[in-house]
Amino acid sequence: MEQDYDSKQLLKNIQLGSRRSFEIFYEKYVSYIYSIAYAITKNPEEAEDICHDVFLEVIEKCREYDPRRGSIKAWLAVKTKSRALDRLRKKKPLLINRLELAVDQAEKGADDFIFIHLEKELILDALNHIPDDQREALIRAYYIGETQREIAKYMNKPLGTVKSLIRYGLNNLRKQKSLLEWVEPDGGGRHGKH
Amino acid sequence: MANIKHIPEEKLIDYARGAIPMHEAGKIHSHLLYCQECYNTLQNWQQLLNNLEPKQPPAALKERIWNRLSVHQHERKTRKHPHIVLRSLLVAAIIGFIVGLGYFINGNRKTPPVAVNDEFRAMRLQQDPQTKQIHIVPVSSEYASINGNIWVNTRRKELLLEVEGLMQLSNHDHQVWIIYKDNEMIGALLPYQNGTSRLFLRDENVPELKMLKGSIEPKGGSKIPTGPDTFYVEIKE
Repeated sequence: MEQDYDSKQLLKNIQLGSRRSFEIFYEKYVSYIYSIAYAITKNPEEAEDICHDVFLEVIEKCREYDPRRGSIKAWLAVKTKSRALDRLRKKKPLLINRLELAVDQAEKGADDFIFIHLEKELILDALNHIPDDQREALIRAYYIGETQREIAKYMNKPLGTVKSLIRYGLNNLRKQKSLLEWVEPDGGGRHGKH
Repeated sequence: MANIKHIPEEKLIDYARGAIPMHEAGKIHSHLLYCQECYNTLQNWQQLLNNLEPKQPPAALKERIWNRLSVHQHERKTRKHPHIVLRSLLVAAIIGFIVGLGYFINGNRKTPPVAVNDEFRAMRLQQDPQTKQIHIVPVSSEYASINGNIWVNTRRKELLLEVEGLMQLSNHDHQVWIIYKDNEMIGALLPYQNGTSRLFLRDENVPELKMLKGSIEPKGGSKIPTGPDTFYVEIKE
């Protein structure tokens, strides 16, 4: 709690224009914020932008911090999560890339965390025009949370076929006319491979 | 079950980090035994934090944030202290007063609004006790990051619009629609710089204003709103 008191004082000093306080606060939390933002988006540029926004927000709204709810670090984590999920909601190409990355990852990391919080309608809209079996495989993988093996069993298809269905499904998502504008620079922002 | 008081998410994160005093941890543990919602939130955070790879952003980020903070602080100061305005005219100009008569796209009013490139007048409008400040409202959660205000003064017949959080678009423009009580509408492109748009108008018809709304329009602007709408603000007497 002593540390939190210090951090809150740093925030107040920053508001008064203290560069030194800003540097201390920044060094103390930047890696933590950036790492969470990256875990959720898997995109370095987006994670950087989220960091930028979170720092500005907490410095300008430091009065909103309520120590009864938890530590400064936890407050920053919640802010970072909210900003990162907002980005995934608003930037469809980022979301699609994130879904694609999640397909082959054995380590779940932030995946469940993301898909539980994101509105299903976001992707379901885009799924409307892809073949039925690809749509079913994607929905089972991301929203019901079934493993590829479970999907293969339920759909009565070989595991390799299910993997292909998911891969084709994601590729088809990109081809959708409604997505074309998203992958242009103005429609979705940066979503480079990494 | 409907009346369960959930544990704040921040507290659950601290619990996941093992940063909770023992006596409090016991209470949380007891709560988690019957509250599935809090348990799920905790699990999500545990999964994320346990797999968190420590990463560092580019070194330039620190400077980027500090510069942005400095601009914000400067803006706040100039609002509070008008004598600083003259010194800061150059900075203010960068923030986005690049507005001209040519912005107005439509409208047949005898005395159409005039966009004014005058930071000092805008400041005086904001400080006039008779000026009414009204928050703008995003039309949907999709545009929840948009925030801002208008300052309107019927005596001075001036209006200042300041919007933050508009996304920069390469194939479209942000446009504001000035709507009068007789439902006539005049559109103006919103200048945009570093996420901020400001538009300062002198308009004989300010007392007749009913509403302002923002929309995304094809490059160069539209004669009529084609949408989607982004924000609105109602001007009530």
